Amino acid sequence: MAASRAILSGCRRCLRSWRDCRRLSPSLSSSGVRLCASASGETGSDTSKPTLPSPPDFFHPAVQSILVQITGVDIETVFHQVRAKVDPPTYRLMTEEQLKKAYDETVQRASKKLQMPPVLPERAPIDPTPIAENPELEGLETSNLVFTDISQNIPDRERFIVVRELDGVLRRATWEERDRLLQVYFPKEGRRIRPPPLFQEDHMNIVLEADRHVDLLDLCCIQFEPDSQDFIRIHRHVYEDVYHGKKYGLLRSTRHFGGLAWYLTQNSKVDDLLVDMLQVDLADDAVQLVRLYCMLHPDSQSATQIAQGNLQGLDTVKAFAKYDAVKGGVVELAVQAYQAAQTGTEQADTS
Amino acid sequence: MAAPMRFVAIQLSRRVYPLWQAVSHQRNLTTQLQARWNTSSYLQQARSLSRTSVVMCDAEEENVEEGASKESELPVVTWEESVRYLQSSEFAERYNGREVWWDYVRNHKGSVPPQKTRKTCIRARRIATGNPCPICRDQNLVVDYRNVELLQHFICPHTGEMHNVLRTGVCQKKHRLLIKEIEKAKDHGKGFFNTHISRIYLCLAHV
Repeated sequence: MAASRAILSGCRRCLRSWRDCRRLSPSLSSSGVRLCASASGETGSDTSKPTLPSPPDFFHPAVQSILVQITGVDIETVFHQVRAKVDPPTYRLMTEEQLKKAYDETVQRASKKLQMPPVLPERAPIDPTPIAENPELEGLETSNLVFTDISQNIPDRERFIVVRELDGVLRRATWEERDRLLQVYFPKEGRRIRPPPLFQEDHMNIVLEADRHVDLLDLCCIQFEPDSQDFIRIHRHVYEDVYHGKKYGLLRSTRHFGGLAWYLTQNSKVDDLLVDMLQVDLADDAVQLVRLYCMLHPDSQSATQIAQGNLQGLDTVKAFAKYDAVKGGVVELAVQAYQAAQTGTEQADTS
Repeated sequence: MAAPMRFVAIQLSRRVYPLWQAVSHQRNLTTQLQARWNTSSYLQQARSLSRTSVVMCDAEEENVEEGASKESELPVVTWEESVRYLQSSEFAERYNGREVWWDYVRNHKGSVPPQKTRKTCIRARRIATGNPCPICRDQNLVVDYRNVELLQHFICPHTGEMHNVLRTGVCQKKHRLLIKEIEKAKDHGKGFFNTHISRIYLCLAHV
């Protein structure tokens, strides 16, 4: 361990402060920095009970299964033609079995690509109280010095990063400073040291006008941590734009649909999404979405009515439209239109 | 419609000889744009010597030099004017709806062009060559991150990458400026960026 800590980064500003590192506790849990796992109150501890007394977490298995189902796996969308330097296609002669195996592998690869970014509450700010105060250092430097522990095999959240300010105060680095310096020493592919102006409101609106919601969200996932302020702000902005513009089709069968559905359900904005699903003949998805709503709002009228009446299928959607939907009429009409279309096709099939 | 032959990137070392129509188009275009060039005094002299020899008295020569020095600088065109120019009929007529570099031919000895284009076409704020690159020859083409349409001319529509400098023929200085402005435009979300992101790093610090 001593040998690994003897590595100096070579830059004058990046010398590690030996004594401070040894003196202070290595884990930052005492300073108010916590791993994201314990940030939300209820993690999936009640998996055994079918009905949960409190609303479940994003990572609850039941919630995740619903979100995965409504995201869907559309091979054409997941593996769409990209604007990049690609090799010419290869052609193979296959038997039926080989073709089926290749297709199953493709579906597996697609579901890997559809891994959802986590939805986490915003990280608590780092404790700003000074670690040490050395007024004798005042006036010696013209800028702050940052000391980073660059030993290998330390998780990013536990890495030691402290700042010596101009007036001699030694404090822990803020989240923004931490993200920047971790990118300097341990760069991640595609991430910039300073976030580009793309993520400001004006520039985001330009991108969203061109219907490039997925690209913007992908870049946001690359640049920011899931529990950072910017990540949550950008996702909220994009989801609101999708909601107001009713552009649900843009995110369907992408990794971001689960987050969108979660956000809308939490904020009770699911009416238009239900209508959109019914119009695209995804009645099962609509039912699942209502089920998710009942899980997240167990005290709502529709949840109690559905539980009491033991309603199934599209009846749940009708109950939701009656009791809790803001645009109940529109949802009812959509359900009726869907059912009419179904009976029409059945008659056409039978005749 | 006959298009000039364009080999793929791997054969760029061979000289690309456009069809006669393209060459004649370039000649016409150059003549059109030459009226607006403020060329360096050296080039002016060289041109005047190669054409008819005009005998001027001392007074007239002085006037000519003064006039040249007053108009010495190339006119400054703003990026907004450039954006308007790209929408105008003048632009459509000049470039026939093609990229601004499609007909440009570099002048060099032998069949293999130098693998670097010239350093710059403009020296001391005047054009210092008889065959300026596609951007320098037209003063209304301003390379700016807000002038997205012009930047699109230099990006391949299929791969999303910038064209090779040997293909477009721009001088090195303008090529570096193009790279910088395209990157800046992507940072500001101006219309285009590569949608192919091979890996997304998600810090899954949860359970």
